[in-house]
Amino acid sequence: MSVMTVRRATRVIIAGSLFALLAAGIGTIAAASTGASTRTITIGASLPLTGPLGGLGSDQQIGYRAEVNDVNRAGGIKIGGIRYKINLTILNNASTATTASNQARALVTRDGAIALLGGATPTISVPQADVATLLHVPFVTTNNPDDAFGSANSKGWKYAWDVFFKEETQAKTVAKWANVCASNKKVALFNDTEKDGTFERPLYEAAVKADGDRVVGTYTFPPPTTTFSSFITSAKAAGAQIVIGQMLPTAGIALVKQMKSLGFQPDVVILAKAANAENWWKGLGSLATGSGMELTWSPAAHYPGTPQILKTWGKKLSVDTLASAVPDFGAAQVLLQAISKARSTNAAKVNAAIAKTNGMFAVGHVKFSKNHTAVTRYLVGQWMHGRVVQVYPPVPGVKTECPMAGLR
Amino acid sequence: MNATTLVNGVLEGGLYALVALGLSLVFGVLRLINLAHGVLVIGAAYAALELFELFRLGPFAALPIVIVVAAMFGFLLQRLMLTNLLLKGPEAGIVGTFGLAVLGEAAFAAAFTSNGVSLQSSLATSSFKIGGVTLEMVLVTACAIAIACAGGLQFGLKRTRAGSVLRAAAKDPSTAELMGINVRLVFALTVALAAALAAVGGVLYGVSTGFEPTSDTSLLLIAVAVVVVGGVGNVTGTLVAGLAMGLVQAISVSVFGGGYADFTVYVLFFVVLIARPKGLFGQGAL
Repeated sequence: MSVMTVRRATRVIIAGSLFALLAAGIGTIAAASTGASTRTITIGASLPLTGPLGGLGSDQQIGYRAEVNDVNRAGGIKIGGIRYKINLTILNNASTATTASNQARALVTRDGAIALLGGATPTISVPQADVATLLHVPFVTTNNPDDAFGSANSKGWKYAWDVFFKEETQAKTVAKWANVCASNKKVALFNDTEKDGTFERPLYEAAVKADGDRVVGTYTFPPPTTTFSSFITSAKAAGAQIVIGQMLPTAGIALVKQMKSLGFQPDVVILAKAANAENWWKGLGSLATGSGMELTWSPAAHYPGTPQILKTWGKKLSVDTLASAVPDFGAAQVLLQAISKARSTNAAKVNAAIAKTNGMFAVGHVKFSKNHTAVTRYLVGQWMHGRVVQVYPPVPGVKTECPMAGLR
Repeated sequence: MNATTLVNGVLEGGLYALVALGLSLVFGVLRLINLAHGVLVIGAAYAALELFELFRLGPFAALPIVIVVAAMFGFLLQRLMLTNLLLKGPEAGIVGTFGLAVLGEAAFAAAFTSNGVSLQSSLATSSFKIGGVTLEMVLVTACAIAIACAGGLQFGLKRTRAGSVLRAAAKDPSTAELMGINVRLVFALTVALAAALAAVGGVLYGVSTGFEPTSDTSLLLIAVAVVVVGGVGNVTGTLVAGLAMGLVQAISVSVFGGGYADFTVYVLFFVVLIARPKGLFGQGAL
């Protein structure tokens, strides 16, 4: 074999090897590109899907999933030139604070969640926020009145953020709506001893007094209570024509039934939290007509995306379910937008992007204050013939029905 | 303190007695604290709700069906589960019924969600007046049914042959079996009767107030307190204790506020447990 032949053979081998290497490289890049479409980011949420808060938790699941599905349908989130689909892992904490805390930890350490979405009410959300703070994982929640959440950590939250209304706004709005109806301005307050019920009671007292009303009865009771005849008899004797309260749905249903039975017919009744579930109408039927309900979203508020929300969900979900689910949708929007803007899954970068949030979302304008809460509006709806209609702030063409027809 | 409050408190006690009667019966005959009793009560309320959803049957039209279904469930529960468990000792029965209670709550939550619901009936929103005292119709009905059930049960236990058989089986199952009594059948029929009573209580509870999958726990606690205060297996004692509990709750709420309603009941329960372990009225017919 001549030297030339050997050299040629060597060149062929080298060229072949280079070609093979190149092909392998291209293949690897191609494989990596293909892999990008299947790459995922895990977001975790421990929700109260059963137990006393099960109604709220189920609506949260609807809202969170809807936003994640929207983002995934649009191709996911682009980070460093690679598109990531969102994998939302939801666990049921059965309305138990300890389980909520343990699950939040497991979602991060076991399931690899890079961020968390929170469960409803401070009882569930605050322990989860503590875990997020400890593990340095961004956490966005809703369904937690702002002051209760903001003040829950004496050192101030670092990784936890809350998008919801403020308790004081709630009390003031309810008091103003109550005065839309002509009444003797005598108010009876019914609050359970849950954290939010206790927190809200003095605010209701202050708000109704500021509006020139007089509190003639203040009644508090622990959550399993469903017997109210002594309170009702007392409120009726005191001549109360406005009933404002905050309690769980079972208590609210029992209260309205017993009010009717004992012939107590106030002109205005609004029982926050109790009247918020779809089962309010199912449980009370026409008896619920005219009762008030708190809203954080309504079609009449004309927040961004409302036509799309109504088009996608309007046929499947009632307005009262949407009113509960859309804030969760909004909270998930805030978190996913922050990840997208951070262009990273790095916790500190995502957290910094959440802090900079300043824009319109499905739940209205979101901008976080120093205590890590973003205040949304508080609206009042009224149950009219099985559906909820926003009545305050006033909507053109819609009038509050007074007195409460269900009790007449 | 208002007369309407006190009278309605006593009537509410009738509902407690109705819920507790079945528990007392099983406790007296099988020597078993049926921790699934609350689930039977709430299950009946959910069954009535489902019958309304499916066939538009009102709670009282649905009641006979619910009673029959509950009795059948109770019968099968005893034959298929409790008999075997009780042969292993009383602890196994308690653990088994606890498991059933947990399972029941989870099943209700899965089937009906955790939202509070209620049975709609005009009875729940009606009342009438006697001498300035407003009486809630649903509570009057519950109390009247509780008195009728307690009376019927007392009569049946003391004055009928079936009652004698049941008492014999409760007193000494081994001897009763030697005498030719089918103790297993008697026990199964007892649990069926208790479940039927729970069904009546459950439907009336569902009409009078709201309920959710976890409502069984508070009902069970009240029922246990009523049974202990009235005396295990003492039908009249259970009725009187239920009415007394309702009255005590009403007085407590009027005097101390809503936060003390259950607290006062449990204080009474512990005082009776310490001072008279066999209850205020002693052990009854069983």
